[in-house]
Amino acid sequence: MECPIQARGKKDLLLDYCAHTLGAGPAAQMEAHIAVCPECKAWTEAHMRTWTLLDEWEAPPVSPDFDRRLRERIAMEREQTPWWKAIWQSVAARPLKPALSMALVALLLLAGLLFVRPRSTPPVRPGHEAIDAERVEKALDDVDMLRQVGSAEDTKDAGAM
Amino acid sequence: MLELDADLMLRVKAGDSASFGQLLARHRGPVIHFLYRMVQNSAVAEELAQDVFLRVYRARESYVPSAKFTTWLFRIAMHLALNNLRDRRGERSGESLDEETGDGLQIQVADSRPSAEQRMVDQARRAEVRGAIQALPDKQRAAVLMHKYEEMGYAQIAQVLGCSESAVKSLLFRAYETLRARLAHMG
Repeated sequence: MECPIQARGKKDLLLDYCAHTLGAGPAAQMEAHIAVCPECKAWTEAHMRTWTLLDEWEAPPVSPDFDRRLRERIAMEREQTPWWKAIWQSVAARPLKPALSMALVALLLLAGLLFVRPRSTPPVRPGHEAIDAERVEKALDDVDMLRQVGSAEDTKDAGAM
Repeated sequence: MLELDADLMLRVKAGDSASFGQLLARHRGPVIHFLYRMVQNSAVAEELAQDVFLRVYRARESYVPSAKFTTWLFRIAMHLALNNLRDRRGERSGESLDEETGDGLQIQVADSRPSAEQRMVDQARRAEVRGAIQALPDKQRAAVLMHKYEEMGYAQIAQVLGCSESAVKSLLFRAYETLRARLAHMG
């Protein structure tokens, strides 16, 4: 009988099995399959052997001065950066501090007051001027009339007494 | 949620150099080991790793956490390694293997103090493994190193190499088949 894993191109499952990256369920299923499939058994055994050999190749330890050398290179690069670029970088990198932000807002408000003033008083249309004079005159007449009514009332009250 | 590395990188962007130290502590080892296995020379690997972290530092201003940090990191490392291999191609072929024989021997001696004969056998075995990996095409080698030694998943390897997941699986199969055939006599 043909192996379903080999036939359907599902060899990545075998690879995952060798790498121990299959979940517990699929790994158990794969184990059960390998137990009855000589082709997959041979494949996994051969690859496990290869992987064990690959494990023998250890990388050497990192030099103890690796970080120091890197920091020196970074510092050297900072020194070589032009002053205007360094200032721009520090401004662009840091969020504006509250005091700086407030100063900026105050500056903007001041600039607004200085430059966005009304240009002049709005022109009065001729009709409006006449209407306002009439109203004022009428209001003064009303006040006079009330004053006369008030003094007449006072005279009447004095006579009665 | 933002991954730890991306968060650290954003702190570096905001001017926190201590976070850069943390990133370095977390990834210095894997990056150097990956580069060492790519170029098979520890001095060159450390120089390249310095360039990798220097590039990360330089890129802090424009950093946006759009991809996994380690994917970005290993993409830089892989490009530098491939450029170095391209530049060194045509130089003396046995140079790197000869240089590394000493390193491996020192580790073995420090670990268990085996006999001289055993040391020679171990040394020969490691040289065979290194030779088999070195003989792989560059992309296959990078894929194997990330899969086997850095334990990366297919998706992440695909992102580092700039190809599809199915292409990565195909690369890995061919690479492991080649290694199995080359190292079969040692099993």
